Amino acid sequence: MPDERDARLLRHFAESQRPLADAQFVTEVRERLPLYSGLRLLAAVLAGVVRAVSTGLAFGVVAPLRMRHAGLVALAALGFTLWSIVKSSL
Amino acid sequence: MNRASAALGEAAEALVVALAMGGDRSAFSELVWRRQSWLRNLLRRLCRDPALADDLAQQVFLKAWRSLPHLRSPGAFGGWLRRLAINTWIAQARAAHPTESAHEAEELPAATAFMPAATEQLDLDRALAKLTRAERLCVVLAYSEGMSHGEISAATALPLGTVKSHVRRGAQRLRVLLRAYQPPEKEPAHAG
Repeated sequence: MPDERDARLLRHFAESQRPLADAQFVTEVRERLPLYSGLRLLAAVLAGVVRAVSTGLAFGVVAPLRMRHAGLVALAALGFTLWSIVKSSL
Repeated sequence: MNRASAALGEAAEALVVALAMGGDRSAFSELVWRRQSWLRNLLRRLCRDPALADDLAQQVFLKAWRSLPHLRSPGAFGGWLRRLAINTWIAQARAAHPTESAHEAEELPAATAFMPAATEQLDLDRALAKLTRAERLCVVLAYSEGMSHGEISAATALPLGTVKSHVRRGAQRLRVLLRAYQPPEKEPAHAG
């Protein structure tokens, strides 16, 4: 059963809704954004670098020990590392 | 306005949210533009002070910018932003009046004491300011946001029964306040 609401109060609420779209408000919010944006960008870049390096190490060091085609695997790991770095910096 | 911002202005909100989640400041500004009126109206109803409400609205948008990467899906942006606004308002109210009980209300005078001068108007915001914080929150979410009692309970962490009683009592008090401050409706003129 839906919650009961007073129709007259509903009308009051609907009629008292004021348009408050204001370019100044958007500007003020936007001016306060760069700090967060810069920190987030830095964190994302650092996380990307750490992820890429650790992935590269995992592929480049561990995999050749287990597989026969070590050279090929190392090459693939190098390629993947480069790809990860490029992707994370985009 | 350049072509990119014009395109953002016409884009579906989910797409703009997805762009903002990726750190696009222009997309986020577009979201602020689209949502500011709704958010500021909501917070003005919850606060007794429009300046404070606008300041809180800015805080909510800044929190949203920081937390956007944690948003589950772009389609959930509206409800998520509303929950941020509710939490921000509750935290502010608790910090500003730590000793004030959420159940304290301005004493409601007898209906006769409200009989106003002909020019006196009590708008909805001022009537809402007479309710307790908890009543105001529940009534605004029910009547302005169209949330069900269950949704209000989930958003505010208040028990369902408490939400129901706040909405009922708050609406009753609002009816008294608004009726008392409005000039009596004129009788329709008899034709002929």
